[in-house]
Amino acid sequence: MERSKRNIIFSCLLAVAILFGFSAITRAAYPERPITMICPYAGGEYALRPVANYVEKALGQPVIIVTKAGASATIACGLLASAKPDGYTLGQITFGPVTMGPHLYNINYDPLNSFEYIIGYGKWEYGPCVRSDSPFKTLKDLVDYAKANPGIIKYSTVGLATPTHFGMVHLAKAEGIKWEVVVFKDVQGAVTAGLGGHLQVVSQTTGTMLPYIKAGQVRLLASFSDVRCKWAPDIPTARDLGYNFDVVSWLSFGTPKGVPKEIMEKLRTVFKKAVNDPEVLSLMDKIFVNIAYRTPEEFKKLVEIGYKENEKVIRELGLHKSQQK
Amino acid sequence: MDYFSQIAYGFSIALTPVNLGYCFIGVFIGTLIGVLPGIGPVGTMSILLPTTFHIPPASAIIMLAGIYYGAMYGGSTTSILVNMPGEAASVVTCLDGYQMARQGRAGPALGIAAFGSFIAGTMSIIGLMLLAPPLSKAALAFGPPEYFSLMVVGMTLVIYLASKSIAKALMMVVLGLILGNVGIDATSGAHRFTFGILELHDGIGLIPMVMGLFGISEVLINVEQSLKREIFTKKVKGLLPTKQDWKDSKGPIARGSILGFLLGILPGGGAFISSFVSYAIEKKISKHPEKFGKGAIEGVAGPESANNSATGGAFIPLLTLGIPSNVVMAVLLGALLIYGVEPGPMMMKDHPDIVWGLIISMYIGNGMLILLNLPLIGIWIQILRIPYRLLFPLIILCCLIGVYSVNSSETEVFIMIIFGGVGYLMKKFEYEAAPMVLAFVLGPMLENALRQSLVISNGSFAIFFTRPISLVGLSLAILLVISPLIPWLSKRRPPIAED
Repeated sequence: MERSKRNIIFSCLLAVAILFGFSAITRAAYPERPITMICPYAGGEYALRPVANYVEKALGQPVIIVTKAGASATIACGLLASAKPDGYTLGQITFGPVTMGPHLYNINYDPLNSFEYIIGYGKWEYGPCVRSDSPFKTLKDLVDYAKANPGIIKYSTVGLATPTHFGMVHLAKAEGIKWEVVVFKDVQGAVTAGLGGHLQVVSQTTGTMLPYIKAGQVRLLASFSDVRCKWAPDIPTARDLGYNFDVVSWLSFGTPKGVPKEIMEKLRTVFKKAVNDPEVLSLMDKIFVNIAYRTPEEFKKLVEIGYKENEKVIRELGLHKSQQK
Repeated sequence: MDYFSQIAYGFSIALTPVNLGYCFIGVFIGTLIGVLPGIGPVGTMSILLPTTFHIPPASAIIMLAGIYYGAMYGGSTTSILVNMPGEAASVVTCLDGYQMARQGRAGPALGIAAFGSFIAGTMSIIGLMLLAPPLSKAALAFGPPEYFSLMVVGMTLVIYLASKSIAKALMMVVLGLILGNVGIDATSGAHRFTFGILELHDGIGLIPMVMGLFGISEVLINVEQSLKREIFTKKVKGLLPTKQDWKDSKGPIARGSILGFLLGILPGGGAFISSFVSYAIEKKISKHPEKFGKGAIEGVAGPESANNSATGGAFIPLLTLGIPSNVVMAVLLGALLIYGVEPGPMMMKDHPDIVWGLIISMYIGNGMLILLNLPLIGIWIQILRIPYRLLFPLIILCCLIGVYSVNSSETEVFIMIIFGGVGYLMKKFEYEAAPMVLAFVLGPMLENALRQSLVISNGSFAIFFTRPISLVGLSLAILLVISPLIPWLSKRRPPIAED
């Protein structure tokens, strides 16, 4: 080989080696620029801020929350899934878009494989509420009445085929009850209709209802979660009462698949610390976000189980996207 | 309730230099984002929320609230100057406000908008102060059947938004209804016109649509005309409203204030609907309805007052019951929770400093806003002097950035551009956009309310007539529809539109 050709090849190899070396160094210096956190719900930023602030301080780079609401969080998930897996884009991944949305909408991501979870940090729990002047003092009262008077009880939910809906569906199936769902597009309508006495039951997240429960305006009849509501511990769960179901929306932070291992490790460590930090915990407590720690693997398992279960329920309700004309 | 001591307490909180400062920051930022198309109070409040974690709750709420009602002041500016609604509630102001600007009367339009907003805002705060508890009870009485009849009344008023051919306006109403159907139906989960596009699952966005229909289309129309001819008359006739303007605007401002306040209390009501309804009412009772759409100052005074007093009304459900009546209130609710304040009926008792400090600061904020906005009118007018060939690229740029800033969605920018083209064609062939927009918003609400009501009533339509509020509403709607046929009601008024 001529000398000059050899030189060229040698310098190319050297350059490549140096570049690899640099990239290794750059990886170790993650993060070098601001991180984007995608928030999937309009007006939902403030619930992510406590964790984001902690992560900001720990990593030394700003965490910018970008809201991309729509289609029950599936738009945000789609964007997250197609983002570059370099660790600079992460997002809140809630249960809805990975276990329910896929059966209802034409999504552009794989709910079981497009994401890698940083940490499962919380859950939204659900339960039926009645006005405090309602004749139903316990869930049994409501169930007995509903069995004796089919079609009379009306309950409000936010959206169809959502957790607020499913809890009541499971209960109806278990007890052979016929009751009617009044669907609202937003939380205000659903809650106001109940508070105004236009329907008997409000099926909602316990977090949303807690201010009213504490003020004595409404009564929570049961918690549809796997555990009792932290802020209303004397209210039984559906399982306590003998039913075999629970409805929980698990909350996580995640990234698109393919983020380099070291970066993932770093994120997982920082987020785990964030979710255990006392200041973060007290802020989350104030806005009634239930902290429920799940490892990334556990969360993935929850998603897989939830995906199959919800598919069954959605098909039974006739709402699956393949059943739409 | 001993009002005087409460009010005095509120003043003691609101007048501290710190809180005055926060109030000013809030209203200033609010005005800015109100002027900028696209980004609105919700986004801004969410962004600023973390900065408020370490300041006293009362100060934080004062600032956040200031952003909200400040945005209502700013929103009318671009509507009047360049036919670009700063946010949804300012759409109606485009109809007559922009025409006034083209006639060299941008100053009076901006002035009346500012004064009307101030008067209405102040009146609504007084209402909030004195009437909150009974009104909130009344608000709870509005269930799905009552919303349905309210929407029906709204739909009957749609026709008053037309100033040209009624037949064409009706066609636009139908188009609006069709476009409003796009998305996933709430009650049945059915996909309507979504074509598998994820961004359409929630329906067509209102903000991109109105920015395209009003703002972009106006730019396209103007650019098409010879660029040598100035779009706005160089001769600006005065900066402030004339005596005659004030005379004409007294009634609309008063009516708009009351109307906006009442509609703002209803969860889901709000500034947008009240501005439309105010416009329709002013036109209906006006002695010269044919002037509407061509620069009638009543068409600016009424709606602008209505949308500002709606912000005052919107606080009532939050402060008395802990129920947010719109997304902005929901963010405030979250903020209150973070500060450790639990909203609900106990809030006035447990945290009078926040509630009364807030109420009094709203008076002060309104005052600050009028002082801020009036001198700005002179500056805004100068913008109209910029040659149009330099101005319109700026307008388009602001629109593109503004729409993108709301949801970071390219699809929404795309929607805006499409509606810009649609709006251009509509203007060329004299089809009006306002009736379409109102039908677009009211249609889905009407349908949802109807179906929710029918579930509650087990399918019986009687529910709309057996419930008193609903009955009143529907009777009103019927009356409105047949009133032109009843001679003594119509009193041989000039027609509301050419035909």
